[in-house]
Amino acid sequence: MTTKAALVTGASRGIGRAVAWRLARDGYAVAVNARSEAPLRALESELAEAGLRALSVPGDASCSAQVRAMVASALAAFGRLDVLVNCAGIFQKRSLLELDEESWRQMIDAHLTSAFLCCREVAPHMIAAKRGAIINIGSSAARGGTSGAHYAAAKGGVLSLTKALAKELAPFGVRVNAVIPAKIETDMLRPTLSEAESVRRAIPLGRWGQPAEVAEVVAFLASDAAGFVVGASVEVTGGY
Amino acid sequence: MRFKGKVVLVTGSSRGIGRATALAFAREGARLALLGVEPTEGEAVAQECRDVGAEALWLTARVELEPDVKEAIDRIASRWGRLDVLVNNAGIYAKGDPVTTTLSDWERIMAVNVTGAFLCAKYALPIMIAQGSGCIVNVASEAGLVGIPDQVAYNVSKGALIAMTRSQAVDLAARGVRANCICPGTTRTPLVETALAHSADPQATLRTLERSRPQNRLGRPEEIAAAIMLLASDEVAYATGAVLSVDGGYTAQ
Repeated sequence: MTTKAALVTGASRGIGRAVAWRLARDGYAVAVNARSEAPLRALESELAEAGLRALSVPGDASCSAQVRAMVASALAAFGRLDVLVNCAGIFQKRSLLELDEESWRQMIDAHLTSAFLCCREVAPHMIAAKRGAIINIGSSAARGGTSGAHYAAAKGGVLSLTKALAKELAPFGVRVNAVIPAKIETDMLRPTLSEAESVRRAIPLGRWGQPAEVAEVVAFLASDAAGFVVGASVEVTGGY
Repeated sequence: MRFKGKVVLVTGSSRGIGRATALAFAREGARLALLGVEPTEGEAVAQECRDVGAEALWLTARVELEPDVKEAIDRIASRWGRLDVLVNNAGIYAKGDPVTTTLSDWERIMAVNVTGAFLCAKYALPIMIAQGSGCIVNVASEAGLVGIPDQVAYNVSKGALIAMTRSQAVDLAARGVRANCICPGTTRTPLVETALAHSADPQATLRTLERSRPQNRLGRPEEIAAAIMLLASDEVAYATGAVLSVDGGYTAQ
């Protein structure tokens, strides 16, 4: 039970999936979470076939009872949790006038409430161990953009949550940081790639980013090499 | 060996963060150009790099003097024919608020911290652009993000480095060069040890500095070096224009 262990939400695809692979390759036992079970089981098998240790813990990360159950499963299997990566989220483009209350709440729940609940569930174990790293996935949409007010507000909330928890948990040896991706080629954003050419031209680096490039920064923030990095929000945006 | 064969220039590398950064790159297979104003200490760091198996070249130069910088980078080009990473680390410090700061302190700090970084980039970039790849990491400071009392010139110089990073990122992205910036918090370096020694009660000042950040401690040069290496690595090729705080939570407060 001495292998380092991580929990990654939103792990069935996109950035979360890349993070799960990266941490597993770094030697973590990885609990992978998402709402839909089939792709998670597939990921668990792929990781196992690669000789890496993984456990699928399906569930809705914005539901406290399910978060409690998935953290309990991860702890039962691995005996510890060193790293939490909050990747769970949804994407939906809406203008203010077509933004109904239900969509607003869903967006805030999917990104912000889920991160809060997972942090709250995992933090006591990290505090008891006097070590731990939490990495939240923000977005450049937090500082503006055209995705929609609900997405921007949810991601802005994630960054504020990061700073608040960074300060609160630092004295206990738990580091909280964020990565701010923009223009990453993921399943979630692929539907918007229809406007790809005009968007691509607006990215200084002239290309979309890959989930692995975000995962690399997550892996750094999770590692002991980042021991003095607390409350940081690291942009991986191609200069966007 | 994440930087095998890469040529890395670290300014201000005779001690502190620069020295730790040079050694960290050396351990990862890079060839090191070390630039600074202290040849005795600098040559010793170059030897430390060689001791871990790296090639290393010490260059005595003042970053704020254009002929010095031009000559130093010419020597790198003639020795290795390329330059992959520039770490603009050279920096100096002086106390002083907006009234008490002398013009000479102001000009000295701007010259080394800002003009020096500008000049090193100016002469490194043609090599990077010609080879179609390269990476600048500017070492700014938490002092560039928040107003730390009684060090206005230093704060302004570090804020300028953050702005320089963003300009370099947008101007150079299409030419294959990335520019990023780290903002270290107070780190146990000779620069900080000297500032502590000059304070009325060094122990009390140290405790105040430690308590000012959520982690209740100062940084270690190796921790700053690790963040510099992350931004310099090809694995994060999509990061440009980023500002990475490494400050034990100081600016999260």
